[in-house]
Amino acid sequence: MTTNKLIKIEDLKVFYDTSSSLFNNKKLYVKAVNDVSINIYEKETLGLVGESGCGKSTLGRAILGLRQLHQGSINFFENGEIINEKEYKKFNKKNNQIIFQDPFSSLNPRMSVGDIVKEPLDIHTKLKSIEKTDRVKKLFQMVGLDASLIHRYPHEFSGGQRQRIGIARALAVSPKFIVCDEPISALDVSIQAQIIKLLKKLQLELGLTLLFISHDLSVVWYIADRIAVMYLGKIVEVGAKKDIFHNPKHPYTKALLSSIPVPDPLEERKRTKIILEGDVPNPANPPEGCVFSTRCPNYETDCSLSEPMLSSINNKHLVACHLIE
Amino acid sequence: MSLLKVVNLNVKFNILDGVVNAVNDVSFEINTNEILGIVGESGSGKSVTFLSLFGLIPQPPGEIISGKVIYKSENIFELNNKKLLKLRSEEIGFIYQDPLTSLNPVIKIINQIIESLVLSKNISKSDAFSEAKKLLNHVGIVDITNNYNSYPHQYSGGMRQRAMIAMAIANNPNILIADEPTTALDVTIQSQIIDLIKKLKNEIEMSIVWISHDLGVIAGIADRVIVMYAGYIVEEAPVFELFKNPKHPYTKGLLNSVPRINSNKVIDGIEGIPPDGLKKHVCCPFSARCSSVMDKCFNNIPPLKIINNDHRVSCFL
Repeated sequence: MTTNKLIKIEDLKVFYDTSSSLFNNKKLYVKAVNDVSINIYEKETLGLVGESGCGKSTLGRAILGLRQLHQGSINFFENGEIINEKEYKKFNKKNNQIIFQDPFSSLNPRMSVGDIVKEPLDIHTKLKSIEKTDRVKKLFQMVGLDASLIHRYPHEFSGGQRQRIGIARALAVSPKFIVCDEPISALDVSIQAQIIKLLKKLQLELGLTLLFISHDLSVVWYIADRIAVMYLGKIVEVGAKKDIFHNPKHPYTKALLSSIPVPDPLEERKRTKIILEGDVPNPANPPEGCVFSTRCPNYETDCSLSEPMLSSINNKHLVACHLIE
Repeated sequence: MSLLKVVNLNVKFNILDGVVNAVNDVSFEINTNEILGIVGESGSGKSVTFLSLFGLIPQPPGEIISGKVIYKSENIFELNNKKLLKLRSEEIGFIYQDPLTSLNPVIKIINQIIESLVLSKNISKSDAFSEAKKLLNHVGIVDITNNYNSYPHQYSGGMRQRAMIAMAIANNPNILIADEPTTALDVTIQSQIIDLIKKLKNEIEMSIVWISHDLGVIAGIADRVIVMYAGYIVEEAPVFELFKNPKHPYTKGLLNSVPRINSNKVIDGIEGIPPDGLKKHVCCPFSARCSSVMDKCFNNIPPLKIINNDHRVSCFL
């Protein structure tokens, strides 16, 4: 991890239009990402955690230019300088990639896995055919698959192997930045461990920057350098892994940490858990003031009056809560 | 004390591609008033085992080849349909993984509960209505935003699971089968549901079978744990014993696959992939992935041996 910025996100809003009625002129938006500002640094793994519907995948896709921005900006840096709009498209395609959650629907069943991994090379490079095949074989070895398998089709592989193919495809154009969108949640526990180990190894070897989106905090603990916690379209806390796990400040982070089951019966039964009341509110109609106010155990009436800003409590540990000075 | 005893259960599925031996020679007991955790990866036969006990797998393609299930000194497999239905409605409760697909989308939730109450308790509709309201209240669904008048899609995931639990406990069952009840839920909601089931367990004397792939959840709730792999029971032990002193290489591998917060231990995972269900095992089902495999592992299926007290393991080591 370095201190050079790779991506700077400012006041980002991504809304989904859900006003479907023909006669209703009132616009209804699901505020998937609502006022998010965050930096991603070169060669770091930023873990993005939150429950379903909190906007973490939307944020990941917005960074890759896959969602229309409602407001705000996303800037990329190269050698300390902002990439301008003209170069952005080319830069984005060559340097930013994604690994999807479901290895069954993210690979084209009619293409051989070799062709799947080769496709980015066909589009973005001018390599000769034989060079491409060499590169594909090399990529297969990098992700721990036998290079002789390139002529097979996706259905011949297990979930874990398919996820490896998805990783090889993402690595094909030697990207700098990869969004890993819940890359292991569709896999069995013993296979999950293989894939996290692989991602961690590749990140170190190739100097990648990863945005690791997950709902599983113990996995994020294993792989991330910094962690951002999202709730209802907002980042409520962000900081170094140590700060988030050892010194969580936001009541939501605390509740989230306390609800992860620990695979140790003695410890698991000793802990006191913070059990949050109720459900996550509808993102089309978020609560007034602090988004967490409806479920917060420390709620005070002032919390519904204004929205808390992300402010720093030390160096790089930021939290958005009124009750923390 | 043993409440239900399963002896040498074998279940297979005849499908187009061949025969899947989903459950192989499985024997175990459920004791009164305990929480029995069942751990295994997808395809390990954990759900099929418990569905087949109460005649809930479709036959065909499913087929129970052999086995006995002794409950109250009767073999469940020999009961006629009427008796089986009565047993299921009065003494066994089920909670499934995905509450959205287990509830009927076009009937109001409260009416689904009333339907089951009228059928099983033989009471009038109005009595059932007040009973159903009481049940929903009991599992934490209160009638604020007209909750009692809602359809399943209007409930959140956590509330749907609560409604399922209300149905499952309506008749104070002796055994509650919870098949991955929290897998589809967010972690904060998962804590709520676990808390609720623990609370109910204290009120109603019942045994719970908690099927899960999440070792953390099992560690927190189970009294005894059975680990399944490829349709076989590979290890069985009281929960503290299993986590402290796992014997089977698969159990050890599973425990080493989960990253632990605040620990810098490198996770190992298990090499290889789970076995193909279509293959019939003539050797230890785990031999292909086992790190301490020996010659004899490829020749025989290891029997489930008792190593001490309640700790059983099927491994030649």
